[in-house]
Amino acid sequence: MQVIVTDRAGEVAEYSVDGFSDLFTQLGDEMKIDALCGGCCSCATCHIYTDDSDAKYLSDCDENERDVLDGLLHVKSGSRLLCQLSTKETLNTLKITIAQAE
Amino acid sequence: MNNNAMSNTDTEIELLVKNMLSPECISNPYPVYKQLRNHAPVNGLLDYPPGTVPGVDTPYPAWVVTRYEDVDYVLRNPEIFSSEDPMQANSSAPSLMLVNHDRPRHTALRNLAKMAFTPKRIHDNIVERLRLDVNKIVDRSLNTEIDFMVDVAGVIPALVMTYLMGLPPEDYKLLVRWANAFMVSSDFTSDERQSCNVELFHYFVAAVEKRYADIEAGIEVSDDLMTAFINAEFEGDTLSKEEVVLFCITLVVAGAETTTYFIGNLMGVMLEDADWFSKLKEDRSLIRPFMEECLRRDGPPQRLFRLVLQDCEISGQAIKAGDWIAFFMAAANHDESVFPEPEKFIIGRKNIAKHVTFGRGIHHCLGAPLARVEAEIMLNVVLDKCDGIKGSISNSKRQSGGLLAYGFSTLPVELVATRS
Repeated sequence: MQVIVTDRAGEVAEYSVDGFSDLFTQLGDEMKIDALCGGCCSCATCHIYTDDSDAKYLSDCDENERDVLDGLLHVKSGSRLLCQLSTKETLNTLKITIAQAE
Repeated sequence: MNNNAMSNTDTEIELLVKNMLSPECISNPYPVYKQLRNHAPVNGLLDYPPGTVPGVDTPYPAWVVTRYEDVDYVLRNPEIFSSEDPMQANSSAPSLMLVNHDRPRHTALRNLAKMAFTPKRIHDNIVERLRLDVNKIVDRSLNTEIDFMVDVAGVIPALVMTYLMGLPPEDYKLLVRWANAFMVSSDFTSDERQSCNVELFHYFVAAVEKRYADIEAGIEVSDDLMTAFINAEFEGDTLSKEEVVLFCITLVVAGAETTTYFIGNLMGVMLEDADWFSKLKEDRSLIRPFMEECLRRDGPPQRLFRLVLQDCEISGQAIKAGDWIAFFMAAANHDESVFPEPEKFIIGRKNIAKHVTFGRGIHHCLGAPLARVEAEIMLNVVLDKCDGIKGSISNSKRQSGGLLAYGFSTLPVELVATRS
């Protein structure tokens, strides 16, 4: 899967990954996200924006993720936590933007 | 890796570990950490977890873990390194919620608590109120020599605790004292420490009892954290009355003292190099990187403990199930293999987000956004109201009562008001 990531500085980079957990690790290693809680749906430092039109390909937002997102100041339609994301349908390319730090 | 490649002999290292609780080391532990990072974990630290009382409770010997890679390993593997604290459990201190729990109970408790610290809740419930109070605190501290630790840094986090839990604002002084006694990093006698622990516990038992009674009687109660804990429900799970009390205590002891030292350390950096004041005043976007570098270089929480659940290796050193380890986030933050020139205060380090002052993994600090907000408001108000800061770092003194926190016990400064 190709993921086109716009980071907080506005720079765009393309990642070829097997799944979102790979992307989570890579973006953490590159310091593009803090990933403070290590992916346990708690710190919201992996907050990203996805395009609404891609929602059908992505896993649904469960109550736990929704609770965390609802507590953020910069939440908007398409907001997700990267650590909780998986695909529902095969997806070749996805565009995401890393949300600003809270 | 040859872990003993550097110079110190085993005896010297043992002595180094033994002397870690000396006032000299506590007030400046970084040279000791530097030597310890040349070695795999060393056993034998006899130190006191929060709430325990030196002279009354008996410490278990702990392995000292100081390298970034090793500290990160401990933080990321809660299934190997348990947060249960047998020494604290055997002491008279109240147990800490979340801090001393493992999964799965930890997950349930964190899900109850994390809603309290969301950026939105902090913004809506705290920011404006705190800004008004910090303005008043700074106004009454202008143009006269103050002890920044007593008059400003000590007040802000304790006041925030009173907001969070709907306590009378004037009680902040009690909270400061109890938190200091609990965290074993101030000079208290063992009797004073024990009586503070008892007072702290009874204070919250009474406050929580009253809140339950008010709710039961249909009296309108404030929409604060204590009420939220009482009403909190996650997948059918609720907190018992005793757990609500312990949650309130955990917030006070985890949030008050550490943030006080953080706020003090920020002021300390500005005294070290007066240029920071004008740089920050001119460009407020530097405040965040300034705070992060201060959290890395001078982060208050020095170390935490874990109980080893299964045999493992850290930097090639075999560690057995049942062993006790002390891992030093502050030593990891000065690991030169991750942060070059670690003693220097360099803002904008590319990997600054890797500092582990707030931990990492499932036990990461839930209060981190709150600590940052408190510090940022303090800095902005001081920068708004002042032309500069007078004082000399040589007149300050670092606390030397316990190894838990790095921070000033006294920091004399004069905040010079802007001439209008």
